[in-house]
Amino acid sequence: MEDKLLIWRFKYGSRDALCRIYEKYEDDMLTLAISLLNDVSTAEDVVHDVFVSFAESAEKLKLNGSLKGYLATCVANLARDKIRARRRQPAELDEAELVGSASNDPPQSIMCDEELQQLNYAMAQLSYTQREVIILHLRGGMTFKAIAKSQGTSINTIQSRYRYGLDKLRSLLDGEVKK
Amino acid sequence: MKPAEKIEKLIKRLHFKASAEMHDRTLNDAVEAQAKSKKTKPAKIEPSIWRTIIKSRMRKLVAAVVVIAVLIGIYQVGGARAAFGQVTQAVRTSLTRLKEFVIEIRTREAAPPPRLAPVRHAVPMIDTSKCGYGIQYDLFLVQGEQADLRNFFEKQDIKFTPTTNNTNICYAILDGDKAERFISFSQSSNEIKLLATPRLILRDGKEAMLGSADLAGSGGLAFAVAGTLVDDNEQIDLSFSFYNGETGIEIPSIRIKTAEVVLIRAVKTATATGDDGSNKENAKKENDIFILIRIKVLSPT
Repeated sequence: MEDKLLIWRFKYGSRDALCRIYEKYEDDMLTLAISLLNDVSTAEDVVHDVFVSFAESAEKLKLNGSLKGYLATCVANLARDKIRARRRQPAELDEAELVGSASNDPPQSIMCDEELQQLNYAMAQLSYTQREVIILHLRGGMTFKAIAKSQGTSINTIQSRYRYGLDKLRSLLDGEVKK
Repeated sequence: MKPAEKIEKLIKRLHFKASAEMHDRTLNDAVEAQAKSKKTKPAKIEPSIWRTIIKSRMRKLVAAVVVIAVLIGIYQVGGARAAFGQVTQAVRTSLTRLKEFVIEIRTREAAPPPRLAPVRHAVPMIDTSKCGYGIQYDLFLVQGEQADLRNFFEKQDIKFTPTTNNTNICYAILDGDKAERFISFSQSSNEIKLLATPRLILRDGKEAMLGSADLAGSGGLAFAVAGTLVDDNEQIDLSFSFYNGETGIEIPSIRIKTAEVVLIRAVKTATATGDDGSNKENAKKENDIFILIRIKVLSPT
């Protein structure tokens, strides 16, 4: 209910509603973006751009699902664009730091837990499509159906990506433990 | 091998916190972008709202009319403006969340006037010794023809301005005298019956959300109001959102003096159909409801 009211107020120009929405989902979206991109500064740019676009789109905004899901989809779409740009400019962005290895950057990360750092490193080894499904489902709170719809693909494909992604994560993390 | 559930749990634990710099930069840019894209929607004046309602009844054979009036007044307790200043200064630009304030209004044709369901709310009555300011709701049921009420509005030259996005909902700013007369009228008139005067606490905070939509059951009406209160040298900016779960109104900013009140009236029309599918014309007036809401600024001790 709160999100519905916030969205409704936001659509009618409420600054307070925008601030409330931003503060409510800022960290979630940042976590999502960092998990997808493995690059803190690019992730921050993505979250920034998503919220600025969101603020501009008040009058056109039509939400069918949840607000969090909508924002997560926006973050994922923009992150995908960044990944494509990264492929086009490999020299520039391939050097981006993995969050898992950026433990000397405490303001951004509260991943003090070694296990989480291992996980984050393993996540970086997954294909982007697998990582995206896993993150959108587990961190974005989106259903497989919603993810499939947002990506224009079948739900079976999404579920396969999720399953194979998790299997690969398990193998990778097992490898980490054995070391 | 780690079980999948453990990995899922681990991923759910992933959490990054935005830096203060990023927070400020993004928020400022977003607010600026919103301000740039915002278009001003001028309010249309609709002086004869009652006539419109009557037309609507006649033409469309409206069977039930629910009228909700929200009277929001801000005044001091104890009459000390200094105290008011202290309070509002303390809660400047404050919105505080109120939880689970649900009002259900049931309209039933050919039945006794609907009881405005006692307000269910989680917040206890105001303890004035502990809070900064509070909201008092005077909930009234309007019965009968409402001729006196219409006359009252005409005599007092109270004209309503439609809100920006819904012509069925309008508001009027009443000066202190008119506000007192309206309250006196509500006490003396047989057309208005006081049902409840619940109070809720507004503590220092950022947001006030009053109510939640709970439209369980047909004919139910629930609403939410969010309000902002800003004191500026005895001028007060109020902004309200009125939301019934599906639609609502937004009154972004009304500037009033401390003694003034804002009377907000929402008109909901519905057409009841008979067993044979025909419209019924006469199931209406007993179901009219007024809700008066006043914000009372309470002196902290």
